Amino acid sequence: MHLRDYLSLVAHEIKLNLTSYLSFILIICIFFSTGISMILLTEKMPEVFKSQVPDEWRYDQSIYFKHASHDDFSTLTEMGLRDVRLEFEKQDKLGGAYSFFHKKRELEKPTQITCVNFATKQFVGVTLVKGNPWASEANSSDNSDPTLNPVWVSEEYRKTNKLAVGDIIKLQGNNNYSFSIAGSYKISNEPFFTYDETEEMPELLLGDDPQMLISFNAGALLLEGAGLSTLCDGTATISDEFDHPAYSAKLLEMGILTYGSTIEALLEQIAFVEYFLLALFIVLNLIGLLLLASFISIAIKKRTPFLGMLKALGTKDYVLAILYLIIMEIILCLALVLAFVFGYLLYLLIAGKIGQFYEIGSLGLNTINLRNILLAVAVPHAFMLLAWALAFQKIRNIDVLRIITNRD
Amino acid sequence: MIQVANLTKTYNQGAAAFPALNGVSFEITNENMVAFVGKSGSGKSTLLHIMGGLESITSGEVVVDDSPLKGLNQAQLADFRNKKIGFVFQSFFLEPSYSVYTNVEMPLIVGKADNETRKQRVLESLKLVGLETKAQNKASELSGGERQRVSIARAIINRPPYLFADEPCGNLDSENSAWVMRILKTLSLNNTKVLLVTHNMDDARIADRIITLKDGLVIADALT
Repeated sequence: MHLRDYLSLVAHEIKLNLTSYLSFILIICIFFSTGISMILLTEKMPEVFKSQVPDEWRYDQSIYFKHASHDDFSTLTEMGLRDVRLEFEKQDKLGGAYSFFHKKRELEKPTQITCVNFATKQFVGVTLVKGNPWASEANSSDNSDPTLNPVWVSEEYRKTNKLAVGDIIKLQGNNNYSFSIAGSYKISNEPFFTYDETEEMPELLLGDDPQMLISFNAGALLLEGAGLSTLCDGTATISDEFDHPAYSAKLLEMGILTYGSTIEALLEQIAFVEYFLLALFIVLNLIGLLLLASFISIAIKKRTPFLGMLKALGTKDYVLAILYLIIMEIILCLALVLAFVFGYLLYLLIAGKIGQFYEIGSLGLNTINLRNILLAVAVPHAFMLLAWALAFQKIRNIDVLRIITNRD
Repeated sequence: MIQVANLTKTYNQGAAAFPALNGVSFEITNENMVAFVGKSGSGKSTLLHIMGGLESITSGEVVVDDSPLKGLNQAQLADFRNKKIGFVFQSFFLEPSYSVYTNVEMPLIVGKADNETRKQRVLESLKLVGLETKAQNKASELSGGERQRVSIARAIINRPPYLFADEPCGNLDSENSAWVMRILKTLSLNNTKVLLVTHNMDDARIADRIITLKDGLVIADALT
């Protein structure tokens, strides 16, 4: 048979069952369009997750990196504390690269920050009442206005009044570092004290345990941003403090997302969502193509006398199979074209809802890239070939003699 | 030439086996029209189907123009049918939704003939059966006799050396039967060997030779 003969026969077969074929194209389109929207979302979901990870290490955001290694913070040693730069890049299981962390923060008063944290750590039950740990150096020495300076109260002080201006406080585990109490005040009958600059910061600490230092800084930022009034007890390490339920609850209350898992877990979460959406896409395609297989099977059954006649006239089975391959391809292509349009609209709808949920606005348009095209075209075709193989088998099994002898 | 030697055909091998042919042998050489007669179940249609490559052989041999049919696969049998045999069936076996023209053209489509050849041969064939004016009618719009004439036109479109007709008048009235038999006779006189299966002795007498079957055996073989 020549190509024009195939097309002519196909046109005739489609014309004979036009309503059925059109209905079926629409049914397949519904499954495919949902599947295609899932595929488009697989690309955008990592962005959604990523949007929840701060680009910068800001006051009001924190990220948990309990298992980060020293190597992950290599730039820290280059930049020192004045420009903390933490870069992270991980390969996820699907080959996508995601950058996390972050980020430089010009630490104007690194020593002060450190002091705050060490103070937090050092004094059990210390309560931050108010104040600004980022106060300028000049202001920190100006004790006349405690509202401008970091002010601290110690329950220990309240009880014993042992801490006094000029007292030297040694840091636990590091005798080379110390700071002094700069001032002591009473505001609204509450005792406060300010601290002074420290000495021999921060190289020693950096050399000893940079990861810990990072955590301290994170803690400082967190404390300030969150305005927490209750700190954890001094026996816990700072890293552990991030796990403290009180922190998480408070942060959550403030709309700050904290990660109670490691970065790897986050990546796994992204991969899971991608796998889930991909699986959904495949399942929807499979259902669509199973319907196609059933439909073609019915069509072949309906046209068995015609096919039997063609076989009796000497048409080979594969020639008839090609006829149905062309019909299936036409159905599939039309369904896919419609599905691309509806799928994209569906994607925009879902993406908009997701964007609203995460308060990140619309996820925007998605590009029709090679990956999407391959998935959206190749996967249905792979299933279609299976459906076609079943159709081929049906054609092979057509019993010409039975048709000849039974047909009226 | 068609040679049939010790041909047997058994349906449903095993306990429920039913023998349709029990060792049939004959040769068709010079006769242009041969009729196979016999009662229902005698095996005449089965014999025609086997010679036409539509049905498999249980044992024995069928050779058509020096080509043994036994051992040919489905694709080779399909080629054989397309090139060597034209079929006319009792039930016409037309595609009702197609035009007369397309129905007749079908074997040429299958055989990959070019457009010009198709057009020329379709019109020739339709003229031969007297239906050239109904070329564009749908097959479903024709009477029974006309349908059978269309199926004859289709059977000869490839100019096959053999035309197998299985009860071609079985569904026709006497007037249309006469039409069809006249056409078959004309064809047999014009280089097409016609093998006719019928239970109507009046039709059979038009043939040059009558082979009578009973219970899967040839019981009579005579020239008319």
